[in-house]
Amino acid sequence: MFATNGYSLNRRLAALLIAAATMAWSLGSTADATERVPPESTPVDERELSAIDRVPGVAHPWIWRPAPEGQGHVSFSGIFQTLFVYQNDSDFDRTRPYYDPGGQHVGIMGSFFKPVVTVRPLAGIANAPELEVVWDSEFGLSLWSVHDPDQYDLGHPNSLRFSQRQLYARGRMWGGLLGFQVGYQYFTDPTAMFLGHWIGAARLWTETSWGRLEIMGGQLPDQTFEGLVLDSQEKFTRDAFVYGGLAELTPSDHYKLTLGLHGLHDAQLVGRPLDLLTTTLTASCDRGFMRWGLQGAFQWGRQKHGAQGGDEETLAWALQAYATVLIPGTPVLIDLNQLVLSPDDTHDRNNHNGAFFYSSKSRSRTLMLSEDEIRDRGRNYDQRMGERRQNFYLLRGGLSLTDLTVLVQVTDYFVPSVTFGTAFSLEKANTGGSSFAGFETNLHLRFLYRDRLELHLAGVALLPGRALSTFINLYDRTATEPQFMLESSLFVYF
Amino acid sequence: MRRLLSLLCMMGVAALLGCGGDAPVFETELTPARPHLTYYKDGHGRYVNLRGINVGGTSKVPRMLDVPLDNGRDWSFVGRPFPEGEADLWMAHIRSLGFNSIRLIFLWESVFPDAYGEPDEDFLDYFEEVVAAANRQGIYVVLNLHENLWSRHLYALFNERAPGIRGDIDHMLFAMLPCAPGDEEGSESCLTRKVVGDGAPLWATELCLPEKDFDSPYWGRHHAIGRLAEQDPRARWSYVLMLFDTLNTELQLIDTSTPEKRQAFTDMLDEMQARLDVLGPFDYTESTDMLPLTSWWENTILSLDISRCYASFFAGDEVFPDRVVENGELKWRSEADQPDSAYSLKDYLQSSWADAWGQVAARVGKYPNVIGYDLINEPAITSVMLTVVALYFELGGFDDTLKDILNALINYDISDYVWIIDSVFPALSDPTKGPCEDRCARDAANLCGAPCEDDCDTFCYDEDNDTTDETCFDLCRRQVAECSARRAGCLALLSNQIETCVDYCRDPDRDQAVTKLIYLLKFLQLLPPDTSDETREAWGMDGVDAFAAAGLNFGFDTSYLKPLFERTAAAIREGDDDAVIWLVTTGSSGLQGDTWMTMPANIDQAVYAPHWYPDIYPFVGLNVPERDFEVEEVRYREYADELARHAEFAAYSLSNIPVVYGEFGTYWNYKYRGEEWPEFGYIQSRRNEYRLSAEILNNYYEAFEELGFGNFVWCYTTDNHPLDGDGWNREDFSLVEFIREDLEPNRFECLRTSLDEGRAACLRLAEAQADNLDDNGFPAHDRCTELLCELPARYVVPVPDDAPEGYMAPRGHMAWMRPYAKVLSGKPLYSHFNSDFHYYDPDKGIPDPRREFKLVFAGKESDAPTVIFVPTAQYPDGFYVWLSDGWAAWDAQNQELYYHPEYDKPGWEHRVRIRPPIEGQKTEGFDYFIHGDRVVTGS
Repeated sequence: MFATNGYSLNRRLAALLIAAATMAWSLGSTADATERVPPESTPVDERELSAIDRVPGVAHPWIWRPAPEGQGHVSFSGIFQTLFVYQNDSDFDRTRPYYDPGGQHVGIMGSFFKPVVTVRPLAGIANAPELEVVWDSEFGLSLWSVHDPDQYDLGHPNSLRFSQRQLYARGRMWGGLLGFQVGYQYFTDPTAMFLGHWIGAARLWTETSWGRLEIMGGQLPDQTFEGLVLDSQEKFTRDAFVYGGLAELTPSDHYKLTLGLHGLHDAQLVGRPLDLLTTTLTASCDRGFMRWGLQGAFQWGRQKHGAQGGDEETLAWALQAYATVLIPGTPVLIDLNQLVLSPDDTHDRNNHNGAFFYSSKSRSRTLMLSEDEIRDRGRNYDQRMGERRQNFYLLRGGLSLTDLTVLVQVTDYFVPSVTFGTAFSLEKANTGGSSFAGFETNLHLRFLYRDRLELHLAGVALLPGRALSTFINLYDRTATEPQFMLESSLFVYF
Repeated sequence: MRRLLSLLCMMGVAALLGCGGDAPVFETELTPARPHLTYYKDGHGRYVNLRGINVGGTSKVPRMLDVPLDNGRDWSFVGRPFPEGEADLWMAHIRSLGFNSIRLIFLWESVFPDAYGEPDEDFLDYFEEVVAAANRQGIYVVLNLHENLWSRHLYALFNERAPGIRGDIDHMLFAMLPCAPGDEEGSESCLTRKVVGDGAPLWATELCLPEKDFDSPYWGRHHAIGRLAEQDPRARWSYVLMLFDTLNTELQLIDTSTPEKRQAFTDMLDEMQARLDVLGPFDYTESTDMLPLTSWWENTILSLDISRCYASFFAGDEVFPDRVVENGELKWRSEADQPDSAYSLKDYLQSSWADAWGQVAARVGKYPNVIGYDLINEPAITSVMLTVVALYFELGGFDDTLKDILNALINYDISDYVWIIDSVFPALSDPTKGPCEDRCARDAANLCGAPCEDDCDTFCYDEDNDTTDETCFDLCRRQVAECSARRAGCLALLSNQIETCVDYCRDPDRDQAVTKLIYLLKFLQLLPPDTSDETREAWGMDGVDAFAAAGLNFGFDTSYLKPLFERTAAAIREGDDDAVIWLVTTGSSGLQGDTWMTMPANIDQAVYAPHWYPDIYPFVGLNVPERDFEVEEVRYREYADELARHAEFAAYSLSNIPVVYGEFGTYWNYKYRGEEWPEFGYIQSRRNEYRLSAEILNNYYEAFEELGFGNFVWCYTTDNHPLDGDGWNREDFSLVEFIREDLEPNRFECLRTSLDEGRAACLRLAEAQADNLDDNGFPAHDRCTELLCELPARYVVPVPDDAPEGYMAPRGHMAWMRPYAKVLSGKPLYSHFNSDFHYYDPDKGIPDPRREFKLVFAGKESDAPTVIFVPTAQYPDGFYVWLSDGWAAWDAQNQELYYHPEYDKPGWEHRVRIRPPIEGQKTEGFDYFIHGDRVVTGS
């Protein structure tokens, strides 16, 4: 399966993907079409997961917002979090640094606050369309040892961190015949494996009984910032645009099929534009006690002067599959995820790139191998196994990330889970000569009160492989000493 | 509809089946590089950083042919620098060592070995192929018409096996003499070595020294030896004694303070006498006046013959106005058939020299890798000797002035040693012997014998028969004739000396020591003995314009070098209309002190190419040992100020053209202070793994990196010999050594083991050799060293089969095989490499950035990548790369990192940092980790 010629593998698997998608589409059309419910309004609806998990915080809590109380003109919601993290080392190598007064452990304590203000200008007006302005900002993660609440200079590095996350207007008119969302928002393609970014975008959709059609356009932030003034320096020709559309079909209440096509035109680098098209296909099923999904993405693109001696052509793919089952009659939930990203061939910067332009957002419940669901600090290892290309991650070794979670709702107040995850690269020549990236196990204890207060305690152990340590270790790239992490977090939702 | 879409999808499946990826496409062809302001730029608009090497040391010396050519010539420059058919092999080796350019030398004699206007087409074919091979291997070429001391046909022989210790005065003096009778190899062969020039062909040298007999068996022996080798032992002994004692007086090198020591000194003189007996006398015209100085360049100042040749070449129309060349023959203008159309000496010689350039340019000008024509090598024209001698003749001698000068220079009283001088002229000093002039005649008689009496009639008369014995008479007459001839020859030989003697007698200051010294020099013909026409002609000074000769010493560059450059550039342009001319100067300013050479008129693309060497040369003397140093004397020295100072000329006087150092370098046979003194330096250098040489080269390269100058190190020689170096004056400058099985069997075996079996096996062999002592008790130099075992195989080339078996390997390479940017996409701002020889300032908490390479350049002026040479020798465990922006691709085969900067903003500085794994260093944020051909891309 793991062919040494990554590029050839890409083509073959992409062919299989399309064939499988075609067959799935054929099959899907025969599914039960009698039960139809109004389609949901977001591509990834975390509330579905939470309905099973009964834990709203799992999987991107920072993009989740509780349903605002009532439908008043202005409503507030948000999350407050205080976090503690301790790791025995920052890498997998016990070699002491040249200057090592404090030992090799790393740790932080910090606070995070995410208020969301929702304004409904048409609230209270009968028969008015739905219209809201959402302002989602974040304070933090501010570290107690670094950021100083006594620091009045906002521009100072140790002032508390403050950023704007989302700022958009959203509307739904004529019973859903026309919907829009314009402004800074968290946007994903149907799989979130390609686009899972906070960007400025405009989305337009229409909802029908059979599904939904949506088109969008937006811009990725400029990596070569030219300035704020609207003058001769600001030009669309030097920007990065994303565009696309999707068609979401809901042949029944339980099944959903989404076909997406999103493109990227990145002209930020003078003389080196990147054009990338990603086709996505997702199929999912939600039976209440069981949910499964299959997601595939296929990328084709070209970057001018992106290769040594010419242009770089990208032909890559990604697969994600998941299944979550609540064992009937028990409080036990089993969740299985599989993520696969295509590798590049063994020649870096030749004319062909087989690595997937990856957003670093996955469904994996691992806390170190993928993003930490308790608090994403941006240092997850699936990102660090790849190179940063503009706004994406390219894992030249590819990735296969599998995780299995067993969650038990012992009581309404106590929900422990254990997760086992393992990662491999698909092209070991690009990962230091080894395929094994790591094995993670974590014990995650959740203490809940009325969906408003949560205490998380997690202990994680990661046994790395050389495919990971090659990228992470600060000195000896071959060392594979285990890494341990203790994490605790207090959440307040409002 | 659904079925149609399914079908389309299946067709897409088929379209997706395809091949995997190929290796990236790296650059394989050079584009022409041309000067742009103070830089060089290639065809992609990239800044070219010239890091080159001179090829090669043995190009100054022709190859001897097993079978002479049709014209009888038994030597050729075909095969210099490389044997035919091997150019690609060695050019690839040069590239693997990290050089992107060569300064390829050839000689005037290479192109016109036989006669004016008759180019050696075989050599030109061969030379063109060498340039073509360089092009194939991606090597830029700067051509240089090389010369030193005018010509290889001017040389001075010496005996390297002379008695005494190298460096001592007695050894030096013996070194100038042939062997004593009975020596193993016979008399003549004891003059085993020579100090020689290179450059001009014989036919040109004959034109500038027309009175010389180049075929004389005495050629190469200083004419003072000819003076000493007189028939009369007493006279010779006297001269020798006088000369040696005079030198010993000044230098106090031979202790004669006790009778025993005096006897030893006398014994030495007797030995010299015996050696001179072997040689026999010869005339001034039968040899050159070069001295076999180890510091050979001093002949430029001291040799009248060399001065005359340069004067003929640069200013023959002025200094020798009455000498013309007609149909290849040197004539007096008054004797020429068509004097108005005959060539002056200057025009004849310069036209051929320029034509040599034109011939080469016509062959190589079409190759894109030819980036310069370095017109001449180190023009060091000093006309002091010519001026002094010419004025001496012109003014009828200026002994009084000379006396005053010598009295001023000689600050001590040599009157105590007058007795020595008097011993030379015993008759002269003895008033009881009659008037001085009479004593001169008697000395002549003593030296040459009494007149031969023709008394054959009496001697052969047979009284008994009252007849003359015809047989006897014939024999007697022959003897008389022989005697007369000998005496006549002796008198002729001594005629100048007799005249000198008479002059001495008439000199009112003849009792003064300085006066006697002057006349001694005249006796030895180190000064003209007189100003007669015969002497003038014998010295080649007839027709010399003394004041024109004096004028050569002022404003030489502007008045004589610049016109030569203009003439030559025009000739080159006929073969290459886009030629870049590389200029050098002598630094000779005008009479006012500020008339420097400015840009020649017809040269629109030029480079200034100075040379500079620090204080590394052997001391003045004959067959002196190599210099000795301690490592602490040479390490951490700053050369940047000196190099910058020598380059100022380009900015000040040559319109700010680019500066590229055409030559620099170091010996590889230093002696190491504290080690055995008589031991040859090459032995000590090998034993110490060339530490001194590496330190010196590191000083150079750090300075060049700081200054941003291109540079060409001297040199690359494929047949470098452990003792003889590149075969030219025993210079050993080559950065590669030829480890021959027959000469260094242990080192050869060591390297072979390393290549075939690995480093560990090599080190075991080194340990086994560690106790190997030669018969003299010195540790053997021919044994493994750790550095030899660690030499990466890619830098070692087995020599082709038709040569002695061996390997060509770099030495001291950790100093000079350094990362550098070969071409840059933007203007270079800063570049530095910390070699193992670098000085590290301590920083708490920060490990020394050993073998760190940093590069900073401004802007992105080309879409073509910046190419950085990253030698794997410096990074055996791999290396990290940090980039300010952009990405890189690695060409493992050529050890080149192709950096593609991305940010195009004005004012942006692109930065590259390369480091090996260093214990304790953090490597976070790296962009690449590269080890062998494996690349890990970081986040």
